[in-house]
Amino acid sequence: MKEVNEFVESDVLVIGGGLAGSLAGIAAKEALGDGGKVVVVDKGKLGRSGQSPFAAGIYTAFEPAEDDLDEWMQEIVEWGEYLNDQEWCKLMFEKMLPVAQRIDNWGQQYGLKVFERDETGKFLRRRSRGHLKSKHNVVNSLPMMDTLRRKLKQGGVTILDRVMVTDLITSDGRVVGAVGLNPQTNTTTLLTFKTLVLAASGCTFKSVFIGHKELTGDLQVAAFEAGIAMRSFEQYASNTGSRDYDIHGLNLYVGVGGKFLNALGEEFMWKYHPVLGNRARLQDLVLAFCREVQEGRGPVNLDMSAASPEDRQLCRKILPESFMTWDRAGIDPFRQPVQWIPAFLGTIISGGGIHINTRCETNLPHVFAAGDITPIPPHGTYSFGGINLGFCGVSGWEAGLNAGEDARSATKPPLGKKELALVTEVLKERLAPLMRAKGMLPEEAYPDIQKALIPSGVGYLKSRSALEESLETLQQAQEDILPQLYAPDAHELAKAIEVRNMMKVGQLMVLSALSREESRGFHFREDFPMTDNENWLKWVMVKKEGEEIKVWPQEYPLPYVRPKEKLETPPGVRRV
Amino acid sequence: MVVKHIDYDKCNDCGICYDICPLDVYRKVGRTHYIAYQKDCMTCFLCELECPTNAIYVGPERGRQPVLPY
Repeated sequence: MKEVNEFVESDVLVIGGGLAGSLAGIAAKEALGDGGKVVVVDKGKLGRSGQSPFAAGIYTAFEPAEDDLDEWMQEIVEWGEYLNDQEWCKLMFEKMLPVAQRIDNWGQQYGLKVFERDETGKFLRRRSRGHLKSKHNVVNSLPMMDTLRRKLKQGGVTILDRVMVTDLITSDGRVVGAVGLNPQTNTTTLLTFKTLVLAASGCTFKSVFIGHKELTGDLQVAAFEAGIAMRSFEQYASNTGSRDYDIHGLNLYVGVGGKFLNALGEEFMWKYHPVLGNRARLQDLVLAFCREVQEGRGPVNLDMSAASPEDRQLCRKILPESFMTWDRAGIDPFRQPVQWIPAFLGTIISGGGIHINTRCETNLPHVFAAGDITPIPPHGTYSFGGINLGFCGVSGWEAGLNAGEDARSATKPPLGKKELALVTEVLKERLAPLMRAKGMLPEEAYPDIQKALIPSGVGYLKSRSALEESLETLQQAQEDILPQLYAPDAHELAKAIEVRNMMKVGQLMVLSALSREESRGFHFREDFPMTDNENWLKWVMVKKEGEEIKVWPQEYPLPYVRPKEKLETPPGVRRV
Repeated sequence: MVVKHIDYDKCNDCGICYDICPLDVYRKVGRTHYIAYQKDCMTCFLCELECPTNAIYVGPERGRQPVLPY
């Protein structure tokens, strides 16, 4: 690996090739027309990388002919605990179905079935986690991603697989380049552009869950270091999953009648969420699981014995990877209860990210962001299932169109001696683990990072003392561990950079969690156990200023739905 | 246990496993692909599902035991 092996120029560069990034690439190319050059890079192979190929079947879409916009707005904001960007909710509801139809039409042209249909030929619609009046469609994620890859290629978009972007180079307030490395070819790339779309994902800290272990917040850290404003990191999220195996599909499992039982055999979720019970939102589930265990009623099991034969087949069809795991482990989850735990997700899904407006603009000129690298603004804390894909679809498309439009008039930023010196400096620092003859292998640092974040006192039922101890650990680890990381090859080098990124994202999460002195969403503070609508209808913002990390609460508009009470009981508290 | 083995009597050297693995677990010597970073496998089954000759077997257990919340 030398200084820079490859230079790639574009009008629009999209970093991240999941649903949002792929759509951004297609839309940017449409906006730019034939002469425009669009490049999409992905850390893995576009179409088989990130969360999108493992999206467990649900894409929520508002159907104007059947649904009531006011009802949906009320539901998403109440479930999102008023932290939602309500203008984003409105935009997303308007556009999520047309985006789904567009992808489905492309799929049909390629002979691929993206969305499931009912007996009348309309998109199949269901209710699962969190849905009261809202409903979701059922999507086949691998055909969806195959469709997008083919559409990108057909449209003349350049795809660069296996480029892990580690840094954004800034000069005079503008992002002028992106530095990437390819662990398979052992090469480095400098990507230049007029306009940039950030569409990779967040950071899951290599925790329990399928399809997420390569998500280590690489682009969130690069954006933070470049001075891009971010927010809502205190809402670091969790899904739930099997204690012993990495599987996915909870939305479908509870949608087909799955129940959570504690050690006493109680279907306890009704005590925490009397309306939704087992279909409660993720924050209700994971905080309730921790509370049940803390109070001696654990462990928690998932019982899916009530699923109909047809629904069992649907689950097998939509979740083939999970059922290969079940089958090989000798477990039939429809016949025997399976021990179920909170599965730490960190900053993916609703758990914090780049702050954007409804045009997907960030605070830096000519830089847009879409999909899961943002806090998923319409979600609020976490509203209902299927918003993630719906938002990735809409924001990807909008970011691409707006970036393409922007690039038509933007000038290419200069890349002179000063900027190239910055590239050299960055590469020297990133490649340092390769140059060491010995040291600590990256994976030796995983347990330290996970122990600082995942245990209940930091990850779930939080206390100031546990958060402060975690912050100290993460800060110390950056000083002690990073200078001694050793990478015998380029694969291990990528892992070493991932370690750096996980530590930084963890630090931002804990700093933000210390800042929010109330309980809301995934953020439960034992020392501030109520939701405080009087003082905390605010987003916790975070931004790098000089060498300092600035954290501050920021008010935001609530134009359509406002809370009625000053104080409310948050998730994770038994109500009956 | 993660990705356990490639059956080289069945493998046709197509390289799909190397191409698609999200965790970059595979490497190649000449035209032959092998499991180079087994512990990084996240048991996603993509390589096995897409292998055209059914040469790959993935076991369900995790490569590393992560920290649990309680």
